[in-house]
Amino acid sequence: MKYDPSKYCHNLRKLEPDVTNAIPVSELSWHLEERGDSINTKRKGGSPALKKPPKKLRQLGSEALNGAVVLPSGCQSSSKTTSSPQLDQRSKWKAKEKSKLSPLRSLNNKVSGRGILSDESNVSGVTLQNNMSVSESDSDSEEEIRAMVERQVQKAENGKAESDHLEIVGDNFELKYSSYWSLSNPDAMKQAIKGNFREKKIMGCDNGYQSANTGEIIAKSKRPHLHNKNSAVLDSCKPVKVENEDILTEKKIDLLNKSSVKTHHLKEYREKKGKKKKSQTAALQSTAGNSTTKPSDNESSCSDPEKEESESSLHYDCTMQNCYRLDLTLDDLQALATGTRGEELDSAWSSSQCAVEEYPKGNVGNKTNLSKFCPAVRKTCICPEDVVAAILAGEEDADEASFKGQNNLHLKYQPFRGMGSLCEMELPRDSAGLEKRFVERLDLEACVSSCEEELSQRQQKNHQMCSVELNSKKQQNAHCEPQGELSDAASFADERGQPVSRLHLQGKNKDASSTRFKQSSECGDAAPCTDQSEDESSDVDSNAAVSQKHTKRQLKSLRVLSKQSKQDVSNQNPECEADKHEDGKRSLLENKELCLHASASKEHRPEKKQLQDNKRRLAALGERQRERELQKKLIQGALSNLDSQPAGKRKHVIFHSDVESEAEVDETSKKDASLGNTPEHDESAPKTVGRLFDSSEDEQDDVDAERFKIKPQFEGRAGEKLLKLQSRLGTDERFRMDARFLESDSEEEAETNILKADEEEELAAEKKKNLEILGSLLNVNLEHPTLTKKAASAKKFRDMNALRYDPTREDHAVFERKRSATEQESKAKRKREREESDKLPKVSQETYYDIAVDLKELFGSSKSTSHKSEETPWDKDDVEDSTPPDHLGPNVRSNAAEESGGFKFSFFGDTEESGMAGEPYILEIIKPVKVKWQEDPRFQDSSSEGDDESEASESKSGKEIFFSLAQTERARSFFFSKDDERLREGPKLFCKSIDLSEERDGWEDRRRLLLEECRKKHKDARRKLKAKQ
Amino acid sequence: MRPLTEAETRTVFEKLSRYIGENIQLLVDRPDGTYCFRLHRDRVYYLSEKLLKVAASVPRDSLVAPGTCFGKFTKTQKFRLSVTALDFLAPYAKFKVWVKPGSEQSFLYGNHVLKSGLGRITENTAQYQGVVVYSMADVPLGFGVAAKSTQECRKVDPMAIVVFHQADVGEYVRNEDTLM
Repeated sequence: MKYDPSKYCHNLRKLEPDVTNAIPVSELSWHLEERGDSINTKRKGGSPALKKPPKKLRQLGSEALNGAVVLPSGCQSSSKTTSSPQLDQRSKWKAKEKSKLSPLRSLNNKVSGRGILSDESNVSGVTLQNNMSVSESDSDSEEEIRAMVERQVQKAENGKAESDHLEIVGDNFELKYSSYWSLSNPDAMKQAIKGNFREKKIMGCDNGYQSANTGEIIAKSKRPHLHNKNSAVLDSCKPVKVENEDILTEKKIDLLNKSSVKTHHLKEYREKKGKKKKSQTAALQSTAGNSTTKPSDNESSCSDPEKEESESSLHYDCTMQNCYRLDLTLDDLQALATGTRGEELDSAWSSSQCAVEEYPKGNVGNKTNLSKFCPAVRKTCICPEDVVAAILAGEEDADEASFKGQNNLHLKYQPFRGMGSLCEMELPRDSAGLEKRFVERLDLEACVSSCEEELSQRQQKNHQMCSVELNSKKQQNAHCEPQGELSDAASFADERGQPVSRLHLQGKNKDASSTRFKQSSECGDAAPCTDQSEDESSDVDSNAAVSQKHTKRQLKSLRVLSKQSKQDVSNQNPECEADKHEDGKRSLLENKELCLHASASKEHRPEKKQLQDNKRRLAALGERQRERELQKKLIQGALSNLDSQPAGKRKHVIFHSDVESEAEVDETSKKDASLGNTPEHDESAPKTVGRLFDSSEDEQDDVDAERFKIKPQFEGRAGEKLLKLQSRLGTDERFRMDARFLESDSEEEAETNILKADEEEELAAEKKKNLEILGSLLNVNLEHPTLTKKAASAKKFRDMNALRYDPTREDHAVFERKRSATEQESKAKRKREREESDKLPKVSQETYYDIAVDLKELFGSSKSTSHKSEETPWDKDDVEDSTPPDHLGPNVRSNAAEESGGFKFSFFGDTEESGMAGEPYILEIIKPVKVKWQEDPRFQDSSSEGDDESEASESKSGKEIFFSLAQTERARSFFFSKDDERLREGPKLFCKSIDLSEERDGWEDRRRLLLEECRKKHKDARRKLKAKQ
Repeated sequence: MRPLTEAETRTVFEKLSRYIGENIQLLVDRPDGTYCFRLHRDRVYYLSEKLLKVAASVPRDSLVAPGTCFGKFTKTQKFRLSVTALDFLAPYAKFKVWVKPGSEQSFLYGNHVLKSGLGRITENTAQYQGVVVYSMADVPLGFGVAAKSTQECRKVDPMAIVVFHQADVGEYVRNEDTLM
């Protein structure tokens, strides 16, 4: 057997050794000695095959090398494959190769030998390539090799390009990034029109993008408002150091949680006591506005991270308020950062200290700081919540401004109050149990609502204990309590609703002062706890009584201090009265207290800072004295204002409407608030307001009713115009605009409508035109759908009632019955039928009856007679036209009757005979059809039918009837009588009734008409023919 | 400012249809309002009916640009799309080309897109088909004309031009003065 390179099955033989002797690619050389000699000879040998493929493959390049080298080397060299798909395929191939190497190869070789190269062939395709490279190396025709090389290079390039740089995507490729345009208009539109899901995805991507941009904070979508707050806080606290921010943010979160918890409690509380919540929230706000340092510190100290999740959007307002707090506390946080911020407690303490130290320097300064912060907050507002919060902040600012003096005082005393609580802890009874309580408090803060009752109980206990000592002050308390309640009620009525009892405030002040003094005399740790408990209880419940009790305690402490106690007492009375009016002060204080308590709770080890405390106290004492004096002045001023203002109000009452007076009252109250304490003014104000209402209702009821009546002339657009005119002219009676001045704006409206319609029409036309152009451009019927729809709808719906046959309309020919054709057809049919009927049925000649001769004979005689009888009338009829046929009938009958005796026709039977016999002479109309000669009914015998006619026509005159009767009788007579009607009428039939010319004219007319008709029909026929063609 | 004549409309639509095909319909017949094309100083503007009414009250000499400029008519009455139309072409583009980040800048400087810079291309893009050029982050950068079909793009050498530059957002900077 000779090796034939052209036969690829021969390659099998050659390749088999290759598998065993695999040469690594690195050892392949460029050198081609053997190849140049004689390829054929080497082909026959086994060894040259080894070297050949590598050489060529080198020329081909790496890609070709992959394909080519792998095969000879078999499974081993597959590691050098570069392109992954090939590798995969090759691995598959390897698996197959092991099992059925030889048959596959032979197959592949054959395929390649035919020059079939299929790119898409999967596993075998790769093997094909590989084999081809080998086989080509064997075949050695340079052209083929080059072609293969090119192809492979192309393939490799393509594969590379596709895999590496060039990516080819379908039409429905989704853009992952959607820029502004996609959001702005067209995409939504596109969605709407095309319903592409892809755009939606883009939107989704966009959302993701945004979220990615905004960062983690917003990414947490669970508590958006919280995050917003955080971000807002971050924005607001620009100066804060980065380091601090980390800590601060944590604290803030804690604070937020805390505050939110509190708000939560507040909410629950609200649920319990509807109106009190307002005061509380307002208190929170105010604290947020006023107390910068404490709340943050306190709250930060008591952090409840677990409560974060419990927060919901319900606490939105509260949280926003808290947000303010946070903003304000940034100062403190800064202080924290600068100072000791290693430990939370320490930091809280230090911050509180710093704050306390700051106060003596200048309360006004603090406020200015606050005010500075608030605008910043406003600026940072982005979300609606923030905006709302900013508005609230504005209110707070106003409040701050109004309450300057007092607030300052409070601010100063707040820290001291915590200290005072410490001092109070000196009292042995509280200290033991209260520590535990404090621990509980921390827990309770998380779930205050549940513990409120307990708290109140504890507080009551405390207060009772205090009250034991403070019996002397009870009278004051008793005096104050009802007022406090009143103030509560008043506060409920108020929007802010914070106002509770001033007593509390003052009590606090006293507390503060007292605590200072007591602090100097070494306070215990447990003291703050007691205060806390009380304060919290007061916060939660906002009981005036509690606060009063509180004040009692404070009063007791005040006694120790001679000066301050005096001041306090002096202040107390007016303040108690003024409490109701002053909104939120007490609540503010309460909040502050809350904060303080929190801070105080941290002060478990105050011994270190007692020195500092002393210093602070001393400074604060001096400050406080000054403040007291200032406050006193303020109160005095306010009182003086009060005295003066009611008169002004009265004036207002007299000269202004209710609303204005109310506004006035509000303004005055605000003024008072800003001035300081306005003790009795508030009470008086609502009263006056009430009186105002009463008076106004009584006196001005009718006027108001008239005034607020809806005036028809100001309705509508024209009315609006009129109203404007009226407002320009003023309220002068002389220029009052009434219905007479109302212009009918229908014309203008109509004009504008027409204009609008025109514009719209123009635009619509333009659009239509554009679409037409577009359709013609794109060869697409863009607007046809609508048109076709219309057409379809028109086709569908046809008002059958409105449909009338209009012969002038050609399309109505549908409704015309095509009579002519049918008639013609029918005529033809009839003719045919007639012919058929006329035709005698063909009788087959073969079947016949043999007629017996005797039968012939039998008929012979009778036939002749009948012929005779029948023929006579026929002849008569033909010959004598003038003779009326009616005579013939009877004649015939008579003849027949007469002759019937002669022959008997078997068909008639006996009945005929009997009938004939019974009625020898019957007038009968013989069916005219059968009787052919009776064509004209006019010639029917009048005599025979005279009876019927006469009977039918009764309109004839009696004479005539008579005559006719006579005639009928006469008709019987065979001959004409003298004045026979027939004789009169007969000639008329023969004579012309009308003139010849007339007849001719009529005939000509008729002819013309007929001609026209004929032509028309001819034309129609032609047209129809054309249409058919 | 006047509506386009039929010939002008045809010219404009012909040009637009190279890029967005029958999606022009979506521009002409919008569900969110009536939009129309207006010619003002040889430039074609695409604007809403509302804007049209407002712009009608502005004197012609004072009116700089009503609505979005789609392009301008040359002296020979050919229509040239400007980059300002990109916002309306991009979402409706039928054939897209993505350029690699490396050649984004080159394209934005007004150069053609070379094969080496071609990152992705819509399949079945015919030669001389209008394409919108995107960055690999799918930000529309401009538009051009495919110099090669998709199949040809596979084969050509890396320095071959695959997209002829027509307009790019770099013109907002380069041709700031003449853009309006």
